[in-house]
Amino acid sequence: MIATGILQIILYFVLLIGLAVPMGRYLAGVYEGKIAFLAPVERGILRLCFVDPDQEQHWTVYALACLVFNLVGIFALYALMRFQADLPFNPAGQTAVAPDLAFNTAVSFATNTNWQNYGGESTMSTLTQMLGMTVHNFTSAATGMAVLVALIRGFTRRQVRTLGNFYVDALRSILYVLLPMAVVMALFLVWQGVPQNLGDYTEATTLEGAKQLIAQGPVASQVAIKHLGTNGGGFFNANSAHPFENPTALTNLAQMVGQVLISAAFVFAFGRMVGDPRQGRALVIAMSVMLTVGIGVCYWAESQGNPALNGAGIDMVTSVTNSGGNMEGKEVRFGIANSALFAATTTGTSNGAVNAMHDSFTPIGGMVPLVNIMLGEVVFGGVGVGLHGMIIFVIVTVFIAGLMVGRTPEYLGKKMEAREVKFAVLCILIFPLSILGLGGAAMVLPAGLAGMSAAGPHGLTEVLYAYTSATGNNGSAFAGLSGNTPWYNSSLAVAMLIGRYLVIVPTLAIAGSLAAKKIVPPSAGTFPTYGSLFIILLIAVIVVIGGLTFFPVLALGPIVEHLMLAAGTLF
Amino acid sequence: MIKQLIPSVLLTIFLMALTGLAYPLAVTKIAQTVFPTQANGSLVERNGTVVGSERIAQGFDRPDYFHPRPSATTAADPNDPTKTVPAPYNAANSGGSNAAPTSKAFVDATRDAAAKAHADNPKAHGGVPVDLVTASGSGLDPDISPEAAEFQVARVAQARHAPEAEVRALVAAQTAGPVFGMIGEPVVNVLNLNLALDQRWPIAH
Amino acid sequence: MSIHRPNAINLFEGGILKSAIADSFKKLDPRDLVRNPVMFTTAVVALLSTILFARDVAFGGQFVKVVGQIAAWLWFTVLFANFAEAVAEGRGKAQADSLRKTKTETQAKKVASADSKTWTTVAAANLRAGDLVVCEVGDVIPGDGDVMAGIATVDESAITGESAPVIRESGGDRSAVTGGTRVVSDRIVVRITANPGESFLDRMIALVEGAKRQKTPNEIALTILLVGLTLVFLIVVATLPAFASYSGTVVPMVFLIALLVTLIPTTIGGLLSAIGIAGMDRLVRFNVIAKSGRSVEAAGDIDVLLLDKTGTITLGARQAAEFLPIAQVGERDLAEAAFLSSLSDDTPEGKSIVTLARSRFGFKDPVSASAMSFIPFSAHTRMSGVDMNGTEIRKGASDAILNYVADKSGRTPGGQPKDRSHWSNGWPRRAARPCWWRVTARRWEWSTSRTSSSRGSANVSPRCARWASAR
Repeated sequence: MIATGILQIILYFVLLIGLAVPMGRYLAGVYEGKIAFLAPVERGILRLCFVDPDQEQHWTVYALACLVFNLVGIFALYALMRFQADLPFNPAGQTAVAPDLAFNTAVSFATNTNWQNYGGESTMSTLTQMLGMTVHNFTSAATGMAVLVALIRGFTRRQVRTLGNFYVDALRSILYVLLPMAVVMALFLVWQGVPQNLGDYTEATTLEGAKQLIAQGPVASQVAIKHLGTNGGGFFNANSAHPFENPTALTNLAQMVGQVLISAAFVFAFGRMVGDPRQGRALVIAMSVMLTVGIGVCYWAESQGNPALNGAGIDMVTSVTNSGGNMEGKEVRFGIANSALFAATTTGTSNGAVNAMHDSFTPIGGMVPLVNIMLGEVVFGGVGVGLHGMIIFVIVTVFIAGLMVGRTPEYLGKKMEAREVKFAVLCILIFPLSILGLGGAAMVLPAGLAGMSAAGPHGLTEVLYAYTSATGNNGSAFAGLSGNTPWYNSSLAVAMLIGRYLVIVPTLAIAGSLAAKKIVPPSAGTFPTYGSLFIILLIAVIVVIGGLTFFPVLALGPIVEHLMLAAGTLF
Repeated sequence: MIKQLIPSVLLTIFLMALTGLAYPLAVTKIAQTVFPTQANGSLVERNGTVVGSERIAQGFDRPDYFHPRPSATTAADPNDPTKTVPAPYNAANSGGSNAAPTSKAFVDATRDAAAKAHADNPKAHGGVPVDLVTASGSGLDPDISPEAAEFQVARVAQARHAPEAEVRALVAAQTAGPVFGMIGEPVVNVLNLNLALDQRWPIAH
Repeated sequence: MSIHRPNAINLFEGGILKSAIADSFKKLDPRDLVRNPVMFTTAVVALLSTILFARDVAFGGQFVKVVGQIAAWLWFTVLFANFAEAVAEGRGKAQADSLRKTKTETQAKKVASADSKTWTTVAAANLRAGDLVVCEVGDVIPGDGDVMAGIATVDESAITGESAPVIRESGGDRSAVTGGTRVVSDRIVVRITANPGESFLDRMIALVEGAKRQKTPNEIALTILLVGLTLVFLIVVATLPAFASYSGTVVPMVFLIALLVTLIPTTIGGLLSAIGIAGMDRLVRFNVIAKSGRSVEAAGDIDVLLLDKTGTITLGARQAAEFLPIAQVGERDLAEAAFLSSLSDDTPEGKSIVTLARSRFGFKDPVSASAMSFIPFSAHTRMSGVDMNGTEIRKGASDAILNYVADKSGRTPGGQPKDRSHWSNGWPRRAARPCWWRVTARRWEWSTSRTSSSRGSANVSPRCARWASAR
């Protein structure tokens, strides 16, 4: 760990918060309907789609609209991949994608996971990348944002049965937020060296005379939205480690800020929309504390290098002119600090883009992204889903706090009763059920064991990471795992579906139930949800629930691997 | 269900047109106009032929060139498409080794690479910088750290029959510091450095 | 009226403990256990580990001692949870018994007819509509009804919040009386108009006995949370062998059991019902009547208490707290007059004047009581007093005194006191003004009493005084 590395991490936070505050104000305006400069366009589009923009939906209808819209998207993407060989814009002549891989990929992009069991440049045609991947990058993000907005409305509305209109919220997310930001970001990326063309792959003759086929395409437009929408599905196999996806330190910074910006801004917008910015600030602080700890641990672990390489005449000391540390799977232009920072932010959010190969991280360094996802990706989290995951934990926290003082717990004036707790518990239950249930199955089935690339505890971590990432809709991977098999394609798709929709539906149910309640004005007995006591309690609840749930299995994976590595055991 | 199906389908079609076609095509149009070089992959031409991309690493084995970082990219096995074979610096299929830190194969290979690096660069002192013996994440990392360049200066200078100090100065000139002095790490672009070498001390092939 | 605190019941009363120990075994019935899912899980796991223990003992196992220990601890956990619940229930029962005693204490004097001289004592609960009861000074009116005969002042403060007793008489619109109010003076005959329904007392008894106890909403929510967490940890433990098998480790069943029990929230789960019962128990101790589980929580949620009737918090008995003489009247003189004129006033107000005078100046009961003629307070005259040696001392409502003086002397003592403003700020002007006066050979003395709600005075003599009561 060196000063310049720490300085960069601080700079990142300053930049992020500095941008998130005004952005939060903008988001609040958009969803409250105060910023509506595109209203004629928006209403025109909705009318063409037979949607009455003024008709609000009950939570069940809102949820149904969300599910149907996503289902249509899954079918469209599946069809696109299956027929890509016969469709235009296929410069590299890619063949049809196999059914199981196409199913996995369609689910993966619709659920904002963007788990990739394929190499983009060697599997997907340009048309599929544009019409399929890029579109889903927008729609899956918009889905998450719409669901969060509905949840926020649950808090702000009083004694109302409706939550707004899903189509309106989703479309607004794209028109006002994602699309304009994506255009700006894409052009910035191109300026820094990200290709954006529709031409064929380029053949070069290297200085030593070898032939090199350089894959290209409309990279910038997809990469921009992949970060803004916390999708993470790369144009290239190596994702943001690829020099075309992430050519400079500046693009790296932009991508790291971009993948957290909307999520962080939403937290501020949340405070603003519920009429008490302190509430948003408290959550930002809780998230930042957890993110900082994650970054710190990861940066420290990766800076240490690999003890198994000691005495081999390798200089692993980090300095201004030497990358040092554990550089396997990392890029020189990012070094250790930015790789650790990226790993923590991409898993704190549900992004899942990687600028370094997590599989090659040191055991403890690799455990940080794993734990981040296991805790529910609530450190800013995916656009929309992150904050609503956090609010689920807040509900549990205020409930426990309420019991301690003997009052019916309330959050933002809404009483938390059996119904809310029931759905919150359901959301929490989903994670271990999917991760440990499916992961455990993979650990005993031959089909599951066959996919591991590493022996020893690292193999366990690879599988665990896969199901954690799929359930958390993250999409990053310990990529050594050979996921492109019928077993992994289907079981991971199931994990992604569970992790997405079995969380969205209960969340909307909570929103619906909250909207129907009245707002109790705060009084002397109200547990304040913006003070340091609350922040500490919230972090404790997240860590205790996540920690108790996953510690046993972590002990069998990264923790024992760390101890074995220190003892010099190799596999 | 049906009631929601119609708006969903129509909205999906509309969004495909907007975000799947209009958005990338518009960005392409603007990018091609404003940043044509970058938008087409920052290709480098010499004597009319494309020699590579400034952004993409290519293999250098000869002692008179600076070597990039190892690459763990693969390609489909020509004999069996379901398998892959190592194909370093394959710019059509990026990827890292994904080797576990506790992998014996990885540790042995890295130790061997370090031994080889020391053998290739007998005049270099100190340990071989770690980036020079570990595969990058993309397998296409175009850069090496300044230390890694310094490690090779003596060898290249000898092979080019050039004074070490001048080669070192060339490296320094090709070293890009962090942006604004604080964002990112200092890097040396291997392709640009080698092109500069060829220009300064040409070698007849 | 003083705050009634039910006798605190000792937590570790022998009787409760003994029956609780027996109950904690009775509660091992699966039908009882299943109501508390966390404890049910623990019990199932305990059973499982007992079977494992038995197997290991029979066939020899690697971890016999550990298994035995775990089984013992698990059973202890279950039994302790049952025990806690049983103790809480035992306390509830004891509480209910003490409530029941209160209930049977309310007696009614049932009469055959309005002019009947004799009555039979019956329990208030046995009264039916149409029954006639007689209520005399100090009696609690046993049920809602109408005054059939007589006139009396009734302390309705517990219901209306009005601290001054009100007059209830037969006929007219002042004939309705409410059960639970108390007759302060005189005697009335009341015809009961309502069958005693399920009184709040009955409900409360049922509640604390736990028979009808429903889970409070928060308890339900907490149960859900605990069940959820139990499920989470069940998944954790159930999948652990799969992960461990990869590492070539076989985790013995007994360790999985131990891990599960460590993880699941047994403590909260075990004490949950005890907590609920304890909540009601505590409320009862503060005289808060919880009619349902929800109201126990509502009591916790109260921030501001708004009452349009202050009855529940007002002590209906006005209490004298201070003698405030005016002008040249000595405080002792005033106190003496007030003391003498109140000796025959049995209302709480009168009694309190006597008490105050005794404590301030140590007055004894007059020796020459036989020479005095006491005039008791009545709702008709609204005065009480004493006649002795030609001196009349009267104390009462100001208009009653004024009229009395006017009748006696043939002239109306006129005017309002000139210097009223310096007495005190903010005297309510509307209330009745109890006054006293005495007539000596040469002069009238005239004073008022200050009570919690009635203020004011008129002054006909140079000396005037009042006394204040506690709020």
